[in-house]
Amino acid sequence: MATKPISLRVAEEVKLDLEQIARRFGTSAATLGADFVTQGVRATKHPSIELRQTPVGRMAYVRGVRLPVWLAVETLEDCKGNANKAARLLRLPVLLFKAALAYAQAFPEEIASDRAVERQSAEELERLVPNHSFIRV
Amino acid sequence: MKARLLLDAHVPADVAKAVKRLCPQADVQHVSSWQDGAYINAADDVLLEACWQERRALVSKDRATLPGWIALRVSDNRPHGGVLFYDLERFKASQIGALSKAIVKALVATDGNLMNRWITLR
Repeated sequence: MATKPISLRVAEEVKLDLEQIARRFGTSAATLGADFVTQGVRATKHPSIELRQTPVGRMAYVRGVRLPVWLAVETLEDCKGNANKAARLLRLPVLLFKAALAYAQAFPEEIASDRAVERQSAEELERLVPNHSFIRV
Repeated sequence: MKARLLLDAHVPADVAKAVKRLCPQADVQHVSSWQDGAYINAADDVLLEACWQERRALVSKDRATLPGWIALRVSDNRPHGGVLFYDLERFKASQIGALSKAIVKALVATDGNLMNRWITLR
C-alpha cells in the first residue's frame, strides 16, 4: 500500500509514551504512530468494529461480542448470502451484522488473511500444542 | 457421564438445547447467557481462564486465535478446561442437529473428560 507523509504535533508526554511503547514493540515511534492513526481512522469509519490483539496478530471483531469479522463472513456464506438468517443464527442485530460485512468489504485482504489462519493443517496445530486430536463424526 | 460445556458466541444457541436433549446429564451453557452474559465480549484468554475455573470445555469453531491462547496457557504451565473445535467445512452454521450429535459423540468418546484436551470434530 502506498503511503504519504503527514506532520503531527502531540503533547510531549504523548511523544515519550509513544517512543516507550514503540521500543517495547520493537518498532519505531513513527511506524507505531502511523499505525495508531490508521486504527483511529478505521475506528471512526467503522465504529461497530474493534481491533484486538491476538496471538496471531491484530484481528477485527464485532464490537461488544466475541465474534471476529471473518467468522461473520463465514456465517453469511453458510447462509448463502442471507444476512437476516446469519444474524439470527449469531443472535446479532442485523445492523451490527451488516456493519461487520461492510468492514470485510472495505478490507478484503485483511479478512482473507484472517480466514487463512483458521485453516491450519493438523500438523501445524500439533506443532503449536501437542495433544491435539481429531474425532471423525 | 457429566460434562460441562460452554458454547462460544458464534455457535447457535439452539445447539445447547439440542445437546441437552441428546445428553441430558451434560451441563451446556451459551456464552451469551452464562454467568449473566458476563463473558459475551471476553477476550479468548479471559474466557479460557473462566472456563477452567468451572472445569468447563469451550465449544468453538475459531481455530484462528484460540490455539495460540491454548499454547500460551500450556507454556505457562496452566491447565485448561478443554476445547472442542468443529470444522468449518464439515459443519455449516445452520447444521444444528449434525453439530449437536457430533458434540455428543465427542463426549461419549472422551467419557466427558475434556480437561486439557483440544479436539477438532470433523
